[in-house]
Amino acid sequence: MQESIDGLRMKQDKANKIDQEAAEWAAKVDRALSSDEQSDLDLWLSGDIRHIGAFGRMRALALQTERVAASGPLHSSYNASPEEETTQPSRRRFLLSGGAMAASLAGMATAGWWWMKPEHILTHKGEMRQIALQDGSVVTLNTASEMKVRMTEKGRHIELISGEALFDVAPDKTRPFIVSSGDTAAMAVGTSFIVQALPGEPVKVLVREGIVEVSRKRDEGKRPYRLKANMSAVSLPAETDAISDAVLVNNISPISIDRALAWRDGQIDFQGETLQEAAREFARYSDTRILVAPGLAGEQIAGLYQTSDPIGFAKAVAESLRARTEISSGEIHITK
Amino acid sequence: MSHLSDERALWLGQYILPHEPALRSWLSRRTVGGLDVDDIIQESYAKLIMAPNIEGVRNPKAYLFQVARSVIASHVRGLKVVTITVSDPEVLDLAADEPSADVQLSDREELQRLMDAISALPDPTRTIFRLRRIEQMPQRDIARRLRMPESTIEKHISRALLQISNMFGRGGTRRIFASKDAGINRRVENEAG
Repeated sequence: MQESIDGLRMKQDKANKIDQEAAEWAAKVDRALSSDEQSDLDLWLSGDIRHIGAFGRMRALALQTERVAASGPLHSSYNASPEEETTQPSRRRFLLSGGAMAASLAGMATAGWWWMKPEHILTHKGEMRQIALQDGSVVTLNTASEMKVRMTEKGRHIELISGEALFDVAPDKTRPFIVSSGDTAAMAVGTSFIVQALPGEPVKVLVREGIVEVSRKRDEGKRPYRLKANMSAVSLPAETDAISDAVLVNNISPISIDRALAWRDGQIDFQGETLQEAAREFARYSDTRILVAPGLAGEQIAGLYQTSDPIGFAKAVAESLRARTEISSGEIHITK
Repeated sequence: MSHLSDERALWLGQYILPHEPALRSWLSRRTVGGLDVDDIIQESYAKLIMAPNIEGVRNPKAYLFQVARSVIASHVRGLKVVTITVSDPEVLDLAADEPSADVQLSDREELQRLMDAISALPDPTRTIFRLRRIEQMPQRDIARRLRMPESTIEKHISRALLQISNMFGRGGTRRIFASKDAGINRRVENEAG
């Protein structure tokens, strides 16, 4: 009995502590943040989903108190006129960042018509977004990606138009979950897998759990490729059919799948990629381009970096290679 | 990096906060798998922040309850991440109602509650908070006017927010809401049971 009371008290203390920290951050945001503070806030927000909620709630409270002002002098608002009710306080923008905070206001559709048509979801460069589908599946959409969702009684259809996504599929034997990209389709019943459709690269499927069947329109009549956990498939474009018309299936380690998913934590995990490849990877997340001197392009890179911080990456790399960085608008040069 | 505009925080303040007391009292009337009411509330707000297209929701109260229900469900199922989109047909179904007189009324009640909470702040916290939020004076100017360090002003603002938040939530107004909620509650109970 005593124990459960203590347990309850601890929980309340924890919630209270979160609220207290949220209030402290809201007060700081209220007077604008330094960039260091912004990163600290991002870090705090990404630590626990409740932090996001508590902070948003605190911001909402703060903004609501402005409406108190808008609704007239204290203690008389009960009779506030309707015009006053709708008065909006000033709209300073505030910034929240970090993967989990992907809350783009793109497509402010009104309820009433849009669920009839396929839902179109996209992320901008550097953004990541998690979407729960009505069937209980969760899609995590990486940077600069675009997809369409169409749910019917017979199937769950996702078209990955471009980019990369992780699909955590809720089991439903009666409705296969099909992700198509170009002419390649990956079908699952209940599983977790990644599909990449990066510009200029073949469509790639990585299976984390369960079984996924990969097929292509141009292979009609052939049996689909069956992928189990820790396998990948690369579907080369039709132009290369002359060399190999097969889907390339490989075994991969669970660790490399985790690496491939580092983006969910806002990170990139390099393990021996060349500097040139690393620069290209960063270009997926940021408009700040990393330009590498030819002599350095082949240097191999290892380490975990923030997708949102190409400058930090370039500096870290330059330091370890004893190279120099030059930062100009929108570009970082790494030179000898 | 993505932006969460003030619009979303305003939306939360205007359409969700007023219903938080009702949600709290509903949650406190049941034990949900050892989950703490504050945790559910905080997580529900997080979902509402992360949900796309939320401005289309026409019955925010029903939506809030639906989100809270999904938070509970996700913990019960042991799922790590469940976010909510307005594409959920059940939510759309719930959201199809016009905003009721009840919503508008509770908006005023909320303002009144906020005013009461501000009035109950001890000084100098109250004065500082009023200067900042109601007179819209920047923290720096308040510091200059009251001859206090800026960091002190910031602390008072933060303390005021926390106290208002506590009055609003824990120990805040408890109110029995009428038939409309009862309908939602029944649904939820049915599904939970």
